[in-house]
Parts: sequence; C-alpha cells; structure tokens
Amino acid sequence: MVTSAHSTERATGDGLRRLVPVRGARSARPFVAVLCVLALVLFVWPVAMLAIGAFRTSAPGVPGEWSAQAVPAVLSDPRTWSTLLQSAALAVTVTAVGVVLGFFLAWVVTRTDAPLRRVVTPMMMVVFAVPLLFSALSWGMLAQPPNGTLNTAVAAVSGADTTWLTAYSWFGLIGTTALKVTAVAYLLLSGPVGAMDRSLTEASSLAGARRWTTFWRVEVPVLAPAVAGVAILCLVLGLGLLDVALVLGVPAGISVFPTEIYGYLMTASPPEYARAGVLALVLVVIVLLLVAAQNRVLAGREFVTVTGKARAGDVLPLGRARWACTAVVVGYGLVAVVLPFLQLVLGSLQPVFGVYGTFTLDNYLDVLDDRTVLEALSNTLLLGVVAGFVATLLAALISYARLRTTAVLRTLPDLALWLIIAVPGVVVSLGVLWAYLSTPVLGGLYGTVWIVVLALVALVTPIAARATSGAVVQIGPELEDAARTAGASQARTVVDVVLRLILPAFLGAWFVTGVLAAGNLDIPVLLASPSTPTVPTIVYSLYSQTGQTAQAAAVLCVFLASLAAVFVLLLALRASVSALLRRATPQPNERGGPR
Amino acid sequence: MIGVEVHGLVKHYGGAPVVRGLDLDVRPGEFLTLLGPSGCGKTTTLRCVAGLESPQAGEIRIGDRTVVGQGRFIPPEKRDIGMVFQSYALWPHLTVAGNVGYPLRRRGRSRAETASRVREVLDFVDLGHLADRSIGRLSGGQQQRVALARALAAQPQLLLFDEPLSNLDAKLRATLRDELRRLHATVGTTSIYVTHDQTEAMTLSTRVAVMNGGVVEQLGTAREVFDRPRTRFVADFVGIENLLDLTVEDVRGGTATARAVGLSVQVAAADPVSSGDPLCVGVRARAVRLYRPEEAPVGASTVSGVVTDRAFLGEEVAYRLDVGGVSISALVYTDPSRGRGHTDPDLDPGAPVLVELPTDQLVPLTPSGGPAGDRPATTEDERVPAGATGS
Repeated sequence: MVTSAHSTERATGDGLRRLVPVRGARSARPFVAVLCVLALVLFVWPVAMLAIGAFRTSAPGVPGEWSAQAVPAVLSDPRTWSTLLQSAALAVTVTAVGVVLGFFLAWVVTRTDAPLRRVVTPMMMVVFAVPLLFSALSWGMLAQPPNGTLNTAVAAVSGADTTWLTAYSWFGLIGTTALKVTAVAYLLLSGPVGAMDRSLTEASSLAGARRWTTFWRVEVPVLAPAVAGVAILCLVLGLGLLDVALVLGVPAGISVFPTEIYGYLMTASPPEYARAGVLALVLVVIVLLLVAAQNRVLAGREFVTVTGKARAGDVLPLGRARWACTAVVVGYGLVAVVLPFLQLVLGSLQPVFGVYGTFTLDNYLDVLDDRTVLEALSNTLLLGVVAGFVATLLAALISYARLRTTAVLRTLPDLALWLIIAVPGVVVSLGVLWAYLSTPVLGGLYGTVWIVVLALVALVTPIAARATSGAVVQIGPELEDAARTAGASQARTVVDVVLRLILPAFLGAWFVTGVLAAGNLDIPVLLASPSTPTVPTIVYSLYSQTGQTAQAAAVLCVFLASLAAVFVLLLALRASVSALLRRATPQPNERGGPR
Repeated sequence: MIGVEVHGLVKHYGGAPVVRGLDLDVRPGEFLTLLGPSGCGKTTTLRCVAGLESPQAGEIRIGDRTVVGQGRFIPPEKRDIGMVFQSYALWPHLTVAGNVGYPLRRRGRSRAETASRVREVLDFVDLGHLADRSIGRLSGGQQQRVALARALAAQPQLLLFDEPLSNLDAKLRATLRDELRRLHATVGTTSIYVTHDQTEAMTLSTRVAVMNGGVVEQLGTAREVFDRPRTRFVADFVGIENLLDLTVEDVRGGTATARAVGLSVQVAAADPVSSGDPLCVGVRARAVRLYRPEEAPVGASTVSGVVTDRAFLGEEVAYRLDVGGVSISALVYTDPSRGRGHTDPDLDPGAPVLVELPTDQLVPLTPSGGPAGDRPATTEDERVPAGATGS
C-alpha cells in the first residue's frame, strides 16, 4: 500500500502528479489494527509473559524479584531429563502408531473397495470430537486389575491371572493417546491421499508393478511431505497432552512435561511458578522447533495440497486382502469407540465400580441432584458455545484480513496464531495466569469463568482458522468487488457476502472448537476456581481424586448426551438459518414466473 | 449524463508499473472501449475508475466529482456505478431477484420499490420468468444477463464492463454483444468497456482507446482506429497483416518514396520526414492487388514478385509473396465479380506475379514501444509524436 515518493517519481517521469493518500480501496486499516491488538493480547502476550514469569521469584500478580535461579534448578534436576525422555518416548510412539494407522485407513477409505470404509470418516470425527478424558476413563475402567471389565471377563473365561492387563501403564497411556492421534492423522491425511493423481498409480500398474509395490513405491513417496507434516503436528500434540497422562500415567509413576508442569503448580506447596515456567519454556522451544521443521518440510504448502486431479470412482480392487483391511477398521472401531462407550454406560449404571449383575440409576440421580454438577454442565455449555463462537469469529476475521485486505499488518494476527498453535494447553494456562494477573483490569477476571473462556479462545482459534481460511479462499474476490460496486461498504460486504458464504464452514468450525473447548481439561484445571467447575474438572476429580468412578461415568454420559443434542440442534439451526436468509432477500412482490 | 476524466494515472503493485501516467477523457453518454492485449493495464484502469484499486498517483473525476486525487479517495460504494464482471460475480446464496435487487437495497430503496424495479429490469433482459431461480440453475448466458441487470438496476450514472463476454461461447457472445448495443442505444448511460476482442470493440464503441504498456496509444472512433492506426503496435493489434519497414528515399510535396531492398512505395507522409529516415508502412492483405504478369493493368504502378505460398480458404485465397526480398500477404477472392486485382490470379508457388500496393491504402506508422519495460517510462504527451496523424 505504501508508495514511496521515489517510485512514483520514476513511474511518472515528469515528477510528482497529485499523490493520492495511501488509504485505499481495500486497506481496511482500522479493522486490521483492532485485530492485531486482539491477537497480541490473546495469543502473544501470554507466551511473552511466560518467558518473563520463569525469571520471577514470586507468584503471578504479586511483587517479586528478578531471578534466574529456577533455570539451573530445573536443568540440574535429573527428574527434568527423565521427564523429557518419557515425553519424547510417548510423543514418538503415539505419532508412529497414529500416523501409520491413520495413513493406512485414509488409503483404505479413499483408494480401495474394502467393505465398511464409509463408516471410517464419521467414526474418526466422533473420536476427534469426544474429549480424551473419555477414552482415558473408559480404558481405565476396562483394564484395571483386579475388577476392570476386561480383567473380570478374562478371568471368568480362562481363570488366568490378569494383573498384567492394566491401562495404568505405558501400554495404556500410549494406546489411548494413539487412538486419538490416529483420528487426527486420518482427518488431515484423507484429503491429500484422496487428491493424489490417480494417473501416477495407473502408470505404475501399467509398468507392471503389483498393487502392494505401487502402494510402497509410488503412493507413499509422493505423499511423503504431507505425511511428514502431519507427523510433526502429531508429535506436537503428543508432547502437550495432559488429560490421559494425568489419569493413566501419573498413577503408574509416568511423568511427562504437562503433568510435571501441573505438579509444580497444583501439587507443590507453595506452587513453584518459576520452575513451571522454565519447564514450559523448554517445551515451547521444542515445539516451536518442530513447527519450524514442519514449515520447512511443507515449504509453504498447505498440507492438503497434492497436485493432480482427482477422479471419483477410481478404486483399487483389493481382492481377498480387503477383508484384512476391514478387520483393521472394525478393530479400531471396537477399541476406540464401541468398547469405551459400552464401558462408560455400564460403569455409570453399576452401583459401585466392579460390581456386576445389578444395575442402578442412582448415579444419575445423584449427579443430577448435585448443584455443582449442574453448574459444571451449564459452565461447560457456556464455555463451548462462547469460546467456540469467539474463536471462530476471530479466526474468520483473521483469515479475511490476511487474504483479502492490503493493510501492511494484515499477516500479523495470522503469525500470532502460528505462535499459539505451538503452545500446549497447560502452558497456555500458565501464560494466561501470568499475563492477566499482572494487570488490574484483566486480573479481575481471575476466578471467573471468563478467564477460562479467553484461554480456551487462545487454544482453539488456530484450529478454527484452518477451516475459515480454507473457506475464505473459496470465495472469489470478484463477489466482494460486485458488492462494493453495488453500493455496499466494506464492512457490509464482509457481512453480506463473506460471512454469509462461509456460514457452513463457520458453523462447522464453531461446533468443532466448541466441543474441543468444552472437553478441555488442561485450561480449567489450572484456571477455573472451585466456584466455577466444568465437566472435565468435575469428572477428573470424581474419578482420580475421590474415586467415585460410577458418578464420574454418569457425568460423562450426561455430557456426551448433551453434546449429541447440541450437534442435532446445530444441524437444525444450519438448515433454518439458510432458509431464513433465503426468505429475507428482496423478491418481486408477486412470485410470478414458472419455476 | 456525465463524463469521466482520468489524468496522469499511475498504478503499480510493488514492482513495475501497470498503468503509467494514463490520460483518458470519456465524454458524457459515450460508450468507450479500452482495447488491448493482456497486461496492458486496461482492467487496472477500469478498476481504478471503479474504486476497487487505489492508484499511486493521478486524478479521476466522475462528472463534476473528484473521486481520486486532491487527497481524496471515494470508496466504490459511493461512486454510483454499475459494474459487470468477466466471471459474472453473482452471489450464489441469493436468487436472481436477490442479486438484482441488492444494489437497490444498498441505496436505501424500499422493498416495494426494489421489487418493481427488479421486475422491470429483469423483463428488459428477458429474464422476468426466472426471478425466483437460484443462480446455480442458470446457464452462462443467463448468468451474464443477470449480472447486466444487476449493474443496471439502480440506474447508476456510469457503467463499467470488465471483459463481460469472454467467458461465453462464440454464438452467445454475438447475441449478448447485440444486446449490449441495444442497451446502450436505449439507456444511453456513459459506459467504459474493457476487452481484448477487436470485434467487440468495433461493434459496440462510440470510441476506442487502444492501450499498450500502461498508456493509451490511440484514441478514436472504431473506424479511425481500424482504418488509420497511428502506430505500429495499433496496426498490428487491429490485424494489419503487412507491416513494412522501409527507408525514405525522397520527399516531394507531401509524398514520400520509400523502399526496402527491391520494393519501392509512394506514401502520403504528413510527417516532416527526410530522406534516410526509417518509415514503417502498414497495408491490409485485402488491399493488396495481384495480377498475372501478362495482364498488367494500365496506369497502375506495380512491382514484380514471386508467389511463395497459396492457401485456399473458401471464398478467399491467401497468398504469400516475395517482393524484392520483402514478404507480403495478400487476400483475394475466388469470385471474379470483385474486380481487377482482387480476383484470384490462380498462380502456383514459384510463379511470377505483379503486385500493386495502392497509395491510398498505405498507412504510415510511427514506431511504438513494445510491451511495458523495454523503453524509458514517459508520459503520454511526450510519447505521441507530433503530426503522426493518419486520420
């Protein structure tokens, strides 16, 4: 936008003619400026304050001294290094399992004729949407010696000793986490795998390669950059997960970065903010390096783009091997969805965990009678709806600013998103604590549900931005030009054309981010006060702290049922909104014409 | 009825300028076409007039209002224009009537007024029966008519067209071209039309501005530009097949004799040219007359050449000739009633031929720059040499 006098002079040759001001057709500077401020406050400031907090001797919001003593203290602690090792082991194994399985399933669904392939995508969406706490709890109940459901079943059938069968182990921790990571990898990879140019595989077949040779020699290498990008993202995810590690890992003596940070803040007395900060910084640095590596691997490509044209209907007949593929699908479905759901329902109906044969609704009556639980449900609903909406709106505006305005700072909010995507939930909580408590205005939010909302917005906006930037790109700029020349201001154009056309993607992103925000444990467990409980914090404390397993299962069941209800409502809303909008547009008085 | 004035318009996107000091004067009620190859800056100029781009320098006036310049930038929504886009740019979430009514609603018209005006303008483009259709269920031609109706709906004081026909097939293009002519004849709104298609420019325009390298190279009626191109670039662009690079030998009473190797022609030269100057001369293939050597015409000055190629095109026959080392194209008719020199002499490659280049059909051309970038940037006033008027 900014033109220098020099370049203008060169262009006109005969010196300066009347210079027009720099503010132009699409600069939208005030709008971009506001977005920049919001992005800095929500995304950058907490991370910056985290770095500062690591060098303070006091708790957030309390006067203290500068000191670097936490750095050597943390770095010389052998525990830090064993934690690093365990975190790395967890992240690497779940990534390996998740990416291999996710890639394989994406290939089965998009390229083969294996039966049941059509159920995979909805199933993966369910796994992605349902909070990790759910699988952690369910598997904790399924495999728990002596009277977990599977233990009991195995013992009843074979009489064998089942102490080995426990989810409270590396095996359980990796297994449950990998199930989730598989869903993430699948959802990110099915685009590129499906979009790969079929002529590549056809050429290989014509060259005489057998189908498995083609799979290994052509499809895998062509997709390698996309797969590498997704793998790095999964590593980042694996490094930052708190819920499973807290529920399944900590009782087994396994500690990873997020649980360690949680420990410094919640179980150490007094809380060791500086040490937590140093540990968080180490984690952020590792993750930022990974994200940088990902950008390098993808070299600026969005990782859904694999060049080439896709043709629908080209499937590879697998012959007898297709039943093996179907077995993988069914196996995953059993372990990731069916067994955990059945267990959760079963667990919520047992009078006491591990007592079989009698069923009771007492647990539901108990929890629905409990004011705290009801409050948690309404808080969580609010968190999901509000944080999801704010995050999606913000993401849409950030995408719009980057793609469609010409203001100098238009890419800044988007860059801020890249920073925050690298920061795990626990670390966001810590950063928000440091940032907001250092100011009187935002510090007043501490203890209310709103500080949780803001932290959740920071956590999920980058995810919403993926959906919204894809949607904004789809809208031809000339649709906006047409609105401007038709007499609509830029703000009006954004509402009438851009937001209206991305509405389906907007609602989808709102739902996904809302569900992620509602099911998140990392943020409320550190930021919510006892007077603002949420479902995940309640479930966690019922299950892991007070041992009320059946009640925890009942609360989760109620929560999942409400999620399903919201989903149905949203579908209805989507249909009626578009119907309403269609009716609200100007029409001739009499609808004369034949259709 | 209002006019549009553009002075010293400069627009660049970071690097090389796309529009470099362009001047343009659109008269009230006129249908002016910006004609040029891709990258000549015609669309950018149009978008600057629309307010969709903000130029780095220059002034644009619509009617008596300065919309760009004097420290002002009036946004597009306040310029009272209607615009038709190449890709139609119809909003897929609105019906036909919704699209057409949008500019009216944005100008604060009531629902009732909007509805009646929408019906009127849809009837005008013969789409009255499709008012409730959704955009996705229209053909390309129907979509562009809706886009036209939308641009007309609010009766703006200026209509802008950005290659509106180039996405349509040849037949539809011809139909819509006629509709646009009818439209301008009926409504008479001042219009600026961008195209790279000569035929559209010739059939639609009151005047044509041929653009090259970010400036207007020639502005005149379609006839002037077509018959009397001023520069080599314009001549080439309007399809003059023969562009002969000659050297002036002799100037006598406004007539220059110029030659290249074995070819010598007489040109009416208004320029102050003197012997030794290079001179470019254009002549259409259709204007070239051919004779068999034994049928030499009386009183016409001919030069002899050799047929190098002959292609039968149906009604016409295309010849390629070598005249004293210069290659010349000629187009003659199979129909003998076309007159002497214009009838196919029926010669095979290798045969000798007599060629007549009629003096009144020869157009002297000034050399012009090629695409932007390979000549120093100057303003238009400096660029058009004095006296190079062919018309």
